[in-house]
Amino acid sequence: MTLCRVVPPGLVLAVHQEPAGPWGRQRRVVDQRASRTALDTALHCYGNHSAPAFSLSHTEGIGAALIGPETLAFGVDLVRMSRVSEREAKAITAEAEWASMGGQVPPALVWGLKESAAKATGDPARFFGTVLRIVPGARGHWEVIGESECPGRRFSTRWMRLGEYLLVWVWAAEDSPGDPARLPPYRRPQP
Amino acid sequence: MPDDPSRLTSTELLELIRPLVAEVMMVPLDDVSADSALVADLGGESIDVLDLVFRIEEKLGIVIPHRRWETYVRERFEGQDLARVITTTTMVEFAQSTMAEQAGG
Repeated sequence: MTLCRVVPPGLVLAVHQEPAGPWGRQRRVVDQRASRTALDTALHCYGNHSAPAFSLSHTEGIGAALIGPETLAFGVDLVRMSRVSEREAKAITAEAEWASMGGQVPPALVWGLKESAAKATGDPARFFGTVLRIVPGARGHWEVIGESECPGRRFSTRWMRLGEYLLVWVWAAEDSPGDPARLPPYRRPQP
Repeated sequence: MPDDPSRLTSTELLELIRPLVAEVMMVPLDDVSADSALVADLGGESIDVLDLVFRIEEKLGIVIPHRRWETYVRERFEGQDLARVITTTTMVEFAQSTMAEQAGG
């Protein structure tokens, strides 16, 4: 299965699923192949634009690639919904934040929002978990904002369900200040 | 569950944690060495690493405070490629660090 479409805010998103496993020791190779195929598909759909930036995610033989302009910070995450329990979601959420979501954000979505936003910051080792906070946004969508060391960075979010998987992506909101010169190290297309 | 996990040597902790790594990353035990990068080498995902933290907590009978793993990663690996730097040894050192902190050491 391979799909490619334009998603808000005008990014190209592609997903590719490798034939079913089991893959054993080859799991990582299969995952990388899936995300590479997704990236190739997205690049093809993106067309002849100069040096797009990209974000990748893969799990269980499915790869996702999100492509867009270098001037925009964005990130994507793919997760099997049943993989994330409340325990994992709470582990990366501040208590007040969890309470404020009021049970309206499923654990897998909590995980996907934080993971994709962490990637979008360019330094997921530094900006992850409780440094990023999920808050209600406009028109019923959730947003992710940076706390403390990541001040002022605000991400808009979207997600879609692919069977038992959840595909989540975020992008820097228009009024979100940040360092445009700091691009995630993985955003350069691989040769 | 060891009587006093804080008294375990690094080698003993490694031999307790290796099977947990193999189980969570779904790889043969023989594939798990001290230097195995959990993501880059063993194909794990970030959520797998968090699950491993939970299992270490249960295996050792310790309580890992909320955000302890997040803080540890941030302080130790800021700016680095987590896929390559978090290894089996990292989990051993994290367990030791956590137990030492709780003991006031």
